[in-house]
Amino acid sequence: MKRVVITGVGLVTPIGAGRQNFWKALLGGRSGIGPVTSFDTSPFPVHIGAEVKDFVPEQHVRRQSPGALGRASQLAVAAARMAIGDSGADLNLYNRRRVGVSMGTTSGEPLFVERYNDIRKAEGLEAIQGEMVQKYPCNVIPSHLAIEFELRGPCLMIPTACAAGNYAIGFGYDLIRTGRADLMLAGGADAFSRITYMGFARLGAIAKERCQPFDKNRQGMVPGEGSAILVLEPLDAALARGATIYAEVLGYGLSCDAHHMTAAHPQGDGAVRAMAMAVKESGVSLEDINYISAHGTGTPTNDRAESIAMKALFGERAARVPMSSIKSMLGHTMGAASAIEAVACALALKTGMIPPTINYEEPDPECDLDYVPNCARETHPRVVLNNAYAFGGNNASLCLARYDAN
Amino acid sequence: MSERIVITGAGVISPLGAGIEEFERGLYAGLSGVRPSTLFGEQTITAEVPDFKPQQWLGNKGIRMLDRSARLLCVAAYMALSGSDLLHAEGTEGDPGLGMVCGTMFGGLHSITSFDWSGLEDGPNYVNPMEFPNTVINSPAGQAAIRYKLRGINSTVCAALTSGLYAMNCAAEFLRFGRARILLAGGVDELCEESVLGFRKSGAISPSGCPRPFSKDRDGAVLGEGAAMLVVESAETAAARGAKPLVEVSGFGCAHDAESITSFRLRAEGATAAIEDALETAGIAPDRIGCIVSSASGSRAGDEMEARALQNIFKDRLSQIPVCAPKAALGETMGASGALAALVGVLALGKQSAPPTSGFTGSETTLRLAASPQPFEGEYALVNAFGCDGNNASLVLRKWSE
Amino acid sequence: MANQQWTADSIRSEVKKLVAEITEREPEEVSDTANFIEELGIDSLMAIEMLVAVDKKYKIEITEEEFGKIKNVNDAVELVQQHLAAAASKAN
Repeated sequence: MKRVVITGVGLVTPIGAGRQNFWKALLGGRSGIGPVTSFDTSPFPVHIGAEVKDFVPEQHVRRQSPGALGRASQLAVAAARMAIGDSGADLNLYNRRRVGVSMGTTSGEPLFVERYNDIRKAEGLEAIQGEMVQKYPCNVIPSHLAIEFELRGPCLMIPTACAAGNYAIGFGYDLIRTGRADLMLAGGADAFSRITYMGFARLGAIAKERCQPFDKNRQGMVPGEGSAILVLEPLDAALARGATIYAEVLGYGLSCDAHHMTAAHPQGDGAVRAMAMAVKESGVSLEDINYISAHGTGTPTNDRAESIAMKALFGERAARVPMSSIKSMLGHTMGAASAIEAVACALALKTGMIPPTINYEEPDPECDLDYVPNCARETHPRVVLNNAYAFGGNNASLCLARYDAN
Repeated sequence: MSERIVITGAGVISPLGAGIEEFERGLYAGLSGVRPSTLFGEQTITAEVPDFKPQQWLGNKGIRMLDRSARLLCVAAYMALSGSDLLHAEGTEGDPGLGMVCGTMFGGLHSITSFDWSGLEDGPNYVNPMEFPNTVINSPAGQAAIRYKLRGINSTVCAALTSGLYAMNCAAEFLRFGRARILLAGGVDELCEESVLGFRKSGAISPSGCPRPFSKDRDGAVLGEGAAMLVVESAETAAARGAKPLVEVSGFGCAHDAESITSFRLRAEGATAAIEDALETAGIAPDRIGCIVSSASGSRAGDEMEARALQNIFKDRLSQIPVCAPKAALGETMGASGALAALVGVLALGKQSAPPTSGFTGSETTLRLAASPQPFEGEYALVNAFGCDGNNASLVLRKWSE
Repeated sequence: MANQQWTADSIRSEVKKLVAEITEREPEEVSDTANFIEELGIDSLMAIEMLVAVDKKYKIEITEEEFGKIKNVNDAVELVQQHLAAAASKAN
């Protein structure tokens, strides 16, 4: 079994694109949340979102025609190109059958569904062409990456909604670990969509002004978009080519609440089991965990259940394990979220700084842990957990560790 | 990691009927599920699940908010669980070691399209929030997990037409890693007005309404729907609970053609590599394959690609190996197709007989298809799933022996 | 718009039909006074579904707050009638 490390990261997010811009903005507590511009939100009672600004697909999509790709695929291609560049890996030196793509998403390419309905409304069903059935299925996202970078190995989409990024990174980790692949691009992507926005608005889940995870007056989540890709490879290969190693992937845990489609299990049963599984598989103990990247959407129920789960698992120690939610800055980027959060974890392990939960003003007695309020902190974490929880009760926890060259 | 992974049971709801017995009977009698549609008007030829009444298996409660994909999946899951003595008792917590890996291409395409449509037609204030969960692609698997208290791994995978085989492999790997005790693995996809209209306009559908895999005069595929869930566990777990293995999951291969998301790669490099990979991981040479369950659907390009890949692998021996093309009877069931094909492989190995390819008239192909069952003596079956989005996957199943 | 005269009886029967559908029962099993949450098992999402269906049918706009206060079929019928009356008087 091979040890698996992260040697490159690339991302396009509401607070900036590329590792350096992203990390600087994150540590600086910058928010990417603002008024929605990509469609008209006046029929809704809420109007804020976390959109990616100033994204020019033509700058990133080269081997394919940029306009032929949906937005999630465009974001993913951009993130992948940055990740490959960041890793310094020369793909020409690889057997392409042993290089693959593993992605997560919540909605796939919903703009093609929107377009289908717009055409239907304006011109009737007779005007419909085959575009939606060809371009909406979410497998197109990893396929577009495979085509763009000529990768001929495993190519999978794991659309497990808001936890998908972790699932995808886990799949990539498994393929490297077992020696099936020499390099994997793993991550997540989602594009802003009126469908997603309407859904969360109708559930009453969207906050009116800002995202305040774990705060007593938190009002809800903020839909967002983005993509993050991590380059995974075997440790020995990374060392042999002198790659920069951001962190090591130790393992992951998956579970299902089997409780409700949109509400978390109130005691966080599945969340506890996913974390415990990740810790066990990683061969570490609970005492080794010194930072958690929370799911922390900012909804009253999620944040409460998540805090309960932490206490159930870590007992008295829970309040001493810093846990921050970068959704406070990025909004909820759906299938990209846990991939972006995994990048943040890798950078935290590499740099020693953990990002804050911003907008934290009033503690909630039901959420009484250390959420790294408002300011980034230098803690030099060694082992971290990245948690993600999704519609359908899909839970995933990813365990990353600092790589020290001994 | 040298665990032997086995399939011990299955549930299936398909154009050929419900449950393994009915499915097997129809398949081996050469029946076809392709007929004029009752859902979309008889001018449209599809392979629907006929007269689908989920209440038969699911009871009357709690199915109202399940969309068609979720209903199909829950029925298949129900059959698999009850047939394997794995249904949780009423009022109990459910098994944290029992989970599901579900392949799908669209999730519930009708659900997401109509959710958006209702926003346009009625305005967002009159949109029912209960319908939002059905718009996410992992919702069928999530609904099945709630219904049957599947508290272990719950994953949905999407690799277009190869989704079902990827799901089988992901499940096998999860088990090898010790992350689950027992998993349901397979796939689902529904027929809906959106997919029927869209595929017809994209030119993939047979104008004659007759899928003729590998035949010289084939003119396209016919859309189908269904769900299959196979019960997958380690040989050790099966033995401990007295479950009899049917086959072993012996090898898996996958490869991407990296050229286009809408056309088959006629040079078949990816399809060939997928088969090679599957044989290699099974640790066998091509001459050990006793029968082939093909992915051919009647697609002009797709079938040509598969024929070339098979030729590349099996060379002179190809004309001697029984081949079947279940999509002739089942139509193109998309995310379910790989799982249905794997089930066909399980049945073929058990009976030591490849099922007929429904409607096969012998029209010029060098492959050994037949209109009646073809007996063979062989330990291994090759199951293929190849897509026009560049994804290719193959599974090798081995008849179980201690 | 608000020209149709909805009788109390027709509203009652419609509400019962809706509750029956949402809770997967027969309409006859839904009494005028059975408590929505405790006896009929209506959760928050089902409540929003009811609200949406009622608003759509009668072309009124009941707020979630108002809707949260109703406990049974009787309350629901009264609330719908109030909104219809208000809409009618606005139209006059």
